Amino acid sequence: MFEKSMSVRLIGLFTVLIFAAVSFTGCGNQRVITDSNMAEESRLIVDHAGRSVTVPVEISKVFSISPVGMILMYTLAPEKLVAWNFTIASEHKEFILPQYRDLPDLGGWYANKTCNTEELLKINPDLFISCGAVDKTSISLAERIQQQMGIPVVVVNSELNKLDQAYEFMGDLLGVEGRAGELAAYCRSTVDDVAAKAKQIPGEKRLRVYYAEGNQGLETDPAGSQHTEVLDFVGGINVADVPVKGGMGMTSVSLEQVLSWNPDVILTASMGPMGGEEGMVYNSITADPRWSTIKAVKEQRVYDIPDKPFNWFDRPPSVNRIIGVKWLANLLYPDVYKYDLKAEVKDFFAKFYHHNLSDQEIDDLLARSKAGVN
Amino acid sequence: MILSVEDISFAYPRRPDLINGISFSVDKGDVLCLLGPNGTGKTTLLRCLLGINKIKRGRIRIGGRDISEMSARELARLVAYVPQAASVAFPYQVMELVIMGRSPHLGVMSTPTEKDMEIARSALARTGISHLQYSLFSEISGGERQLVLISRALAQQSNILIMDEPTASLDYGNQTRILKIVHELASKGYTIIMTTHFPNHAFLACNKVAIMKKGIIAAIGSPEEIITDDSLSDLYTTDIKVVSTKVRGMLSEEVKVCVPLMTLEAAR
Amino acid sequence: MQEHVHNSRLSHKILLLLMALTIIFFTSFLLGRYQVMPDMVITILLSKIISLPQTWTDNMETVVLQLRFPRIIAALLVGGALASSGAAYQSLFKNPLVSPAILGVSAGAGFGASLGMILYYPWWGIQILAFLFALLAVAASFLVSQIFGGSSRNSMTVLILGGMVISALFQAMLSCVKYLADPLDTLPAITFWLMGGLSKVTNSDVLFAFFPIILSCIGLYLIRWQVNVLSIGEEEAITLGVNVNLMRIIVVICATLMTAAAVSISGIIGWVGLLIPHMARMLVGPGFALLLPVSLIMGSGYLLMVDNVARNLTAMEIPLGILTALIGAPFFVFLLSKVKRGWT
Repeated sequence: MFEKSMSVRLIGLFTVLIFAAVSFTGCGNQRVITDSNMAEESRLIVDHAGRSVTVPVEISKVFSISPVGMILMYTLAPEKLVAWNFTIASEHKEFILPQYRDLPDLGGWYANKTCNTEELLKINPDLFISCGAVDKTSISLAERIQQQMGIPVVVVNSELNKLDQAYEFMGDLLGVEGRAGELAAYCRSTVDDVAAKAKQIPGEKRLRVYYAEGNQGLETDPAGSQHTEVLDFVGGINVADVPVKGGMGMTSVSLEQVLSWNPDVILTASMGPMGGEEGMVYNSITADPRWSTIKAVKEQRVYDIPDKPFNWFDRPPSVNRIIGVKWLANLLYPDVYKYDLKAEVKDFFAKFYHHNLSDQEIDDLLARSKAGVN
Repeated sequence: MILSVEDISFAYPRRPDLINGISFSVDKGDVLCLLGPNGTGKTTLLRCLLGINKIKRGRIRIGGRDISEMSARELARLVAYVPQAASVAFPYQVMELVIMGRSPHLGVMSTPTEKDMEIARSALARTGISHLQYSLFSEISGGERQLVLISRALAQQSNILIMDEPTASLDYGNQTRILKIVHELASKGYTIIMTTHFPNHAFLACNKVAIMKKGIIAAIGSPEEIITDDSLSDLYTTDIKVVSTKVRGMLSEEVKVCVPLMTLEAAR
Repeated sequence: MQEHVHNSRLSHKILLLLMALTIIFFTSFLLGRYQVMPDMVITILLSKIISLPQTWTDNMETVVLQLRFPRIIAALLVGGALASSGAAYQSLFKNPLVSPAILGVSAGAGFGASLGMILYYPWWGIQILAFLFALLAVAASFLVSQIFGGSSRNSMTVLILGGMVISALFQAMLSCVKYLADPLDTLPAITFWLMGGLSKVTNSDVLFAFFPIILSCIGLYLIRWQVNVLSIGEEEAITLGVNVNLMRIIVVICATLMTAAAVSISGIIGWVGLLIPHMARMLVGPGFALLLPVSLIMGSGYLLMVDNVARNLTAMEIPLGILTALIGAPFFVFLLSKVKRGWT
């Protein structure tokens, strides 16, 4: 696996260099872009940021500027998604329908990634979507991209308890109201159910949880961050009393600080969908004697966050958090939530990913992520 | 002969020769003065004698031994260098610089001892600047800096001193101070090779003069026979007269002075 | 006026510095986000020397011996290494504005570490890559200078130019790696590494960096007088009997080894290697024989103090490189205004 991701990267490196060289000589085969948008009918809509945007009535090609929207689009209408935002590692691709596995990776406007704009204009999408928290930064970014690219950008609020509205809004835009309604209903019922049950958890029963990110588990995000919404939502207490960071988040803490927090539960983040050793942080925390005196490690309550096809908890904070909520709720408070997790996961994958999980696949997915494993 | 130079040449790689076929020798107590216009290879020659420039042909012997077979340490015990007083990058005190003269006598891994300090102090005393030992090199005058560098060379306890324009950019008072010291050192048995742009200084402090021209030695001998109207005018391509005058109380009653003449044609 | 060469006042100064360092060292054990009472800390430390009945919790022992101990030692090693290699380079290049990074060691380490991160190497693999690429960068700078100006009169300038070129090259390759890195998790990790910090240091990291740093320090200390003479200029040093080429190589090797080892466990920490030698020079003068040990002591103490701030001020770790720059830059200006002796 190492070799594979390495060769992918080397090819990437090479491509960058070649692009640099070619950009000086200029491209020979220029394509004439047919200005079909002009002839089409358009309509005026108001997006979640309150912006009025003119969009075509018929939308068949959508590009998301960041991974959150990309996943939303894939689950809703994969046939209209024109590109990925990052290269998906092969273990994750197994859960993607074969016909979409080879969509190009065009990057996007997130973190410090940049997008290959000319390549994108060749595809000429009808619409860009920008999913995530709605704030001044995301609005001005949307405006800027719209101006630069000449393609309408709509801002969609994809906070955990707004996902139903996000699906309905997108369903209306794309003309797939039926499927959107189905997914929205699932999101709404999950959110309502969990929110109601979370209220029943008495204060003294609430578990104190540490979210371990970074390659040594010594980066974290506090309560109130968009990266830990799932934890806040299911009624866990985030031990990290550090300031909330916007954007990509992640705050360094020392192991001594984690020891003094002495969490009941540790959630380990995997190294993301681009590759990396499975369960690297999980393995290092459970094996490191320096962590061994922490309550969560002593009581074997360290859990690796499932990350297929995309992370269930964070990075990107996508619709997969809907199943992430059920997983974490059940993990922390099985007496309160009482979900049949296997059935729930099967149902979620079938609904959102058109993928019927085998029992073996479910076991693999949750191998390091269920009670009593370590 | 304490120092003999036999037919040496030097050039930087893939460059023309800077000096070519130079031979001369000096004896104990000699003060040799190298005269010549800028860019004739005086400094290059000094650098060859110091082992900074590696000669490509010929041989330099000190006390009969070829210097190309010596280490830098061995050579430094025989030959000391008094560079032109430039600035140093760091705020060194005078004593810190003078004690560096002891380096060739120290092991590679050791530092100066109290005995080395004593030698450095007496070197400062010999040039008459003991009072400056804790002053910053950067804050003393040009003449004093030159004296510091001479003290360092004395602390080195080498019998041959090589001085690169020791009187450059000094006033009359400091010039004579330096030349006096040169004279004294020679009388104590030091051998001194120096460059200068003042032919007068050759009369004052030297017993040998060499005229350098385009990388070769054009003439060598005593100041009286070498420094003439013709040789100087030819060397500096301007009219120069050597005049002599009698001054009572001088070492030799007759004093020779070179005077550059500015004729009307030259001024025009 | 004071004397720099041999003076009892100087040995007093060194003694005072050593005492200050000892106090900072022991105080650092008492500081931390995890509450351990001072008497417990002392008992735990003593228990390693003499056997004592266990009156402390396992957590306390982990905090003191597994977390604070390596971190404190690492701060001493890294600070000392950066300051003394900075002092060595300033003397070698006879330029007080030179820092240990001049020959590309930091740029090389940064590239190595980020390469390790996008390949998802374990932490020790990342450290080794950082170390190796740091050495490689300096070797490349040296090679460039040898090829393009080894025998010329200004070979030191050529060496610095070589360092600049190689640094720029590795910076560019680092940017390339950052561009390819996963922006969701690897990119922040690379960014954190480049900001420097000791929060992840373990006892085995300390062991990894210990020998290169200590051996290089000893190496530099042994040739301290030769380096001192070198600081007045290469050619004068030759006439004073210094084997300039050999000494230059020894200084570059020692300074590179110790900086590379330091950077590979701490990430990139600026300003220490530039600032501390200046402070040391104001205290004991420019003579390298004293400048080296004083820079070592002051660098160690300084970085230990700054790291104490980094790990104690808030629950969040403050990247060390940010703190050293925040403190260092204004302090440097202050020094410039205070300095009476001048640098030239």
